[in-house]
Amino acid sequence: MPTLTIDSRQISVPGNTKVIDAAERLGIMIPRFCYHPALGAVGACRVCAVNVKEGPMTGIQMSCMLDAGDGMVISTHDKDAVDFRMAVIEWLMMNHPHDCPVCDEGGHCLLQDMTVSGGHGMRRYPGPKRTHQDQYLGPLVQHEMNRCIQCYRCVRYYREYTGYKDLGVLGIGSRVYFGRTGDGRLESPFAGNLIDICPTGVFTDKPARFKGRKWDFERAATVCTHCSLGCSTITSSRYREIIRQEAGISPDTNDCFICDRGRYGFGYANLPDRPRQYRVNGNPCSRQTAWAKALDLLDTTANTNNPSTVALLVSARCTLETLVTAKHLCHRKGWHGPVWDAPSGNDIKSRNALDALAPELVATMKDVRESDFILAIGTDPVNEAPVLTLALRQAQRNGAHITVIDPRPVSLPFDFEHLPTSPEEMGDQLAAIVCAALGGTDLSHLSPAGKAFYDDLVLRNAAATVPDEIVVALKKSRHPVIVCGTHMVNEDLPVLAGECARMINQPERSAGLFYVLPGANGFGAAMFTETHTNAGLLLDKIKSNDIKTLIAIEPEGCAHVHSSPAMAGILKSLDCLLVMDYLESPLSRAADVFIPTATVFESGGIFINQNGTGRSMQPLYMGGTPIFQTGRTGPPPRLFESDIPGAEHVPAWLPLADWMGLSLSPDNSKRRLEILKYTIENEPWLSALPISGDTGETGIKLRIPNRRLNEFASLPHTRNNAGNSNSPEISLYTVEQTFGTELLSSGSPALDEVIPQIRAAMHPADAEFLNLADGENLTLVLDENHELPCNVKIETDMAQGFIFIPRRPDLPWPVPGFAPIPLHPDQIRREKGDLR
Amino acid sequence: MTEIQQKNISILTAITAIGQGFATTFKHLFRKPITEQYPEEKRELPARSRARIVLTRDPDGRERCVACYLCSAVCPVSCISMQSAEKPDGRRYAAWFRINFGRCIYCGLCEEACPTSAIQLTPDFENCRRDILTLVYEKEDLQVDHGGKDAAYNFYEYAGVATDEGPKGSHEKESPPVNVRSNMP
Repeated sequence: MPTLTIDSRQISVPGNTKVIDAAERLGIMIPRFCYHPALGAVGACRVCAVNVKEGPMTGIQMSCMLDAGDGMVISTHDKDAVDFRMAVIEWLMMNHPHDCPVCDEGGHCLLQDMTVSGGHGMRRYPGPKRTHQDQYLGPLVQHEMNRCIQCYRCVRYYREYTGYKDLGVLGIGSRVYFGRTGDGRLESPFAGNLIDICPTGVFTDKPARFKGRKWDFERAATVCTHCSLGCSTITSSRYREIIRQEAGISPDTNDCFICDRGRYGFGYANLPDRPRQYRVNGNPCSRQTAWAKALDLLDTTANTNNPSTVALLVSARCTLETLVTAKHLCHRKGWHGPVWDAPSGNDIKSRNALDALAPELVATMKDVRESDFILAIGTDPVNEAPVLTLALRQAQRNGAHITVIDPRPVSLPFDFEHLPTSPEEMGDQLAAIVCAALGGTDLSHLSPAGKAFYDDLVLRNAAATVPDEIVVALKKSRHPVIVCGTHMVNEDLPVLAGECARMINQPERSAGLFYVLPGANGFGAAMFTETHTNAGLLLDKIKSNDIKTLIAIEPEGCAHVHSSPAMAGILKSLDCLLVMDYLESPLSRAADVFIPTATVFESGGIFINQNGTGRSMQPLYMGGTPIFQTGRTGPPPRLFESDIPGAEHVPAWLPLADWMGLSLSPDNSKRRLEILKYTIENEPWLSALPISGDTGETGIKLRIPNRRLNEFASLPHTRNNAGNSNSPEISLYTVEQTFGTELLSSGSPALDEVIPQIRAAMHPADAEFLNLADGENLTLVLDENHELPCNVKIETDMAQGFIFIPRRPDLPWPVPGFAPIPLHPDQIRREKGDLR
Repeated sequence: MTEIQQKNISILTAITAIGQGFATTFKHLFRKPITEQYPEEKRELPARSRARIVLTRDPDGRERCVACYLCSAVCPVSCISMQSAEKPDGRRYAAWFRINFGRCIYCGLCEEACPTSAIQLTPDFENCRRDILTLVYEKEDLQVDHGGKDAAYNFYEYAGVATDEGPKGSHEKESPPVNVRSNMP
């Protein structure tokens, strides 16, 4: 712990701390451009100069390159240092254009801040300025190369941190240029971070171009709700419209970066066709009418029928408050549910995953970044949880061995081992790797159940062979992490992965376990929904008239299946359909009573991410129809009005609390705290959450109630039916994609252009068998009513016997919950005519 | 000095003072009056006096305001609001611009902050209304067809961004764009 003096104040810092960081701990912000905590120091910009008065080397030095040493005396405001920095800024400004008024970075520009605070006000150099041509970098990032100050942050981030290669540095000397070799969309789904990382306005937010200045925005720290990782974000809104989103800083989750799905996925909150009015039988009405009608319908059902004919459907995009209120409402009223509306089987897999998530194994993204061996099984990180890719990349940069076992064509921006395996065989491969790595280890400390589990592993081991280097890497590793998905896996795989993690967790090797769950609040949904039922069973019950009333709260899967005629028929047999949502869907249009709910930006709420960290979000703005949609493109109305148009929405928990008879305050902010208190008090394992609702920057780690008391699970000894391998059938699976499959972000207009065309990925052998060429158009006949036109994409790096298509919310799918469909070759047709 | 002497002096002072006063009065009786009969007679105010705000145009007659939000940020009474947008030619402009003169204190900070010389205060101070809403000026009410006090300035000549004013490298004090593919020193 060296102790040094900075500006006459002493501080002790851990070894290897740079002086710039030590000063920051004291609250002294030394100017910097090239230095960034996630990228490290290169000493390129020379603006962090300080004067070292006492130390191994005295005089002007760069604080980002200088390790804090014991007994150093450093001055940041010494005249020499100040003059040096002022001169550096003057050089940097020599070619900087005079375009701050028309630059979107203006107002949160590091260069502006440093220029002003550095004291450089007047330009002395009268010569001409260097100019650069700009490039088209796609619909999300705007390029303006004149503003560059050559700090190299962009390429260090893009090439080193994320591993993508299509943005680089070109030219030499004073002609250095940061861009692509030619115009074109940036390939990385993390390109949006260039906007945050550029200290000036070379890369700016294109969808938010010219929409406002930082000081005019209502800004708040938010949690990203586009996957289960729960990254930190900062959201800005103005005139009742969400304008932009930036990455927040959270060391345990996203570090400093987010993916483009999270950055630009907020558009659903601004949509002109977002339902903002109460509706009864499709006709707009007042809140009182709808409220009374809903109560009336529920009373009638409760009186005439059994209360168990009422079902409540929730999803992973509901806040924790909504889920808990829904659970208690169902229990109190004797209703069926709450049922988790998740894609087929994902609910059971998620519950299995949480059962196996032992507290000592829980890995955060930080643990993933710092691990030395990662086995990702049944997950496609870029598409299911994009920011996880960045965590894997950091581990890989530090020398970790990364293996992905998944049938899909997984593509990651770095070197990794991919074993394309069918879901049935993934468990065997995992068992084989773990068995081989544990071979020769003393396992006498294991309990009988543990030994039985090991025997089971050995049994499974025989079924697969795995490359030796994976086993060697696992044997050598000290911090291995098993990452397990919950979509492209069998029901028992999350348990197997969890137990394998426990198996390899030994005194000399601390293992981690990291699940990827479906949806932002998949953890909460798995904990608070009824275990013995799911969306598919619910539909069966509706079909068999066991359920007559359905209350759907922000549904996910059901809403889309309704686009099929079969589903429409099922819903017709309901007596009453109540829908609460902030998205328009076939389900919401069919509702008898529709209640518009608030988005997380309007209501705030708590989300539990995939490792059990509760993160709360304060409301960002009041909501209401954006000013630009209030009927005119011109200025806002000239007269004051007391109520906000289109702001009738309520948080989804409010009607539930009302039906339950909770008396809540009419005041919005008080009510929010009351429901939070109710949530925390009624669920003992949430008691770590603060009643104030402020979970801070990093969130609160919740102690997961361990349902199995640290005992190994027993697994089925035989693997699931793998099907007849000689059968000509091909399984058609829907898979997640970075853009276009996640429900909320797929409605965001900013992402329209980056959503790829629907392509059916298939193995070359399958394509050869079907006589199809890459890029060929074909039609998949799902059943007699459903046909899906798409385009062949031959992928060598995937399992044989599968076709993968993106799970678009509007995909016509005949079975509920996007369950996979076995296709006979006859069901695969060329655009014109049959295949053969 | 005796008491009588003192009394005489004070009487003398009083008489002199009265005399001087009357003299001034008499002088002014025969002078031309300086009162101007406002509003019948109106005086020409200096160009830099601060009253009603206008949005001026550049020498080509195009609107100067780029909606950078600096005037609204600096306004101490928050009477300026606007929305920036982009024209097809790449110029940034104000989709709408509103000044509430009912609130404006004519401090001139907006004019000082304006980087394009668009917003300017004029000597036109006669701005009284019975209906306060008529004091809320929209962009159409604010725009004038001249350059005001800084007629020659054209922001886009200096900004360095590519617009219909010219591509990169064609503006004042700019080198032609760098050829990144050249290896010449």
